[in-house]
Amino acid sequence: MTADTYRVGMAIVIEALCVIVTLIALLDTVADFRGWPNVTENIDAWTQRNPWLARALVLFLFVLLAHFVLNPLPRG
Amino acid sequence: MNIVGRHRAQAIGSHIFHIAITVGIFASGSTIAFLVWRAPTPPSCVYTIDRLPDPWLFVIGVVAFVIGHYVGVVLPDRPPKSTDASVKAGRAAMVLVFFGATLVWIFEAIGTAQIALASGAKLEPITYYTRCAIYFDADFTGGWFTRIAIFGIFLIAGHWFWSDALTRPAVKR
Repeated sequence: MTADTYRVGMAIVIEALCVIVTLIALLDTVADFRGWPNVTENIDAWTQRNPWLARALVLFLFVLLAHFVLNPLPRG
Repeated sequence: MNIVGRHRAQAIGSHIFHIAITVGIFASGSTIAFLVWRAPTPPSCVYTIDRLPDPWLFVIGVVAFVIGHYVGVVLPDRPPKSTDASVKAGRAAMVLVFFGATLVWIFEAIGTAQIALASGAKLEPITYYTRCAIYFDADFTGGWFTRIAIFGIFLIAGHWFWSDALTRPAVKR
């Protein structure tokens, strides 16, 4: 275990997630200004066209959640 | 206020809401990242209490996923017609998403390889930091931030990827 990298590693992870979510929110803002279908409506259309890809993505999300919260932490 | 005036006021309100959300997400996320980076006494990822596995966190994800689907059933979308510009913007968005995902996987690869920093310390995979954050969230907030984050992510996943659009009748325009 290398606990002293927590600050750097965690800050990078948080900022990476922050940038991705900000870009999505920015796209939604542009769609709002221009009267285009918003992000939810675009993804809804994509899900209709690609139901198996959407199911695979959902499976991946739940596998990731199980990996995070259903495994024991190493002691010590 | 007449109908035109009301629609205009709604549009302006929607614009302000979207700008505020975008700025708010970036400002709050960057502030949290900065505070974590500059924390004077960082938490150590050495575990003394068995806080995981926690099956209830998984149950929260499942429940939020189902609720996200039914939000779409109760409040179905009324999408405006696509234009050439909006289709191009959609493609650009997909490029951005894949670019962001690539950066995340590069970081994951560096963490998995445990490449050393100049200080001699080694970076770890994203899983390591996520599970460490869940562990210490139990100390700082009683685990509520973890629960809210899982609920929010899977609510959106249920709304987006378990689409109600296949079963609802088409909207006439």
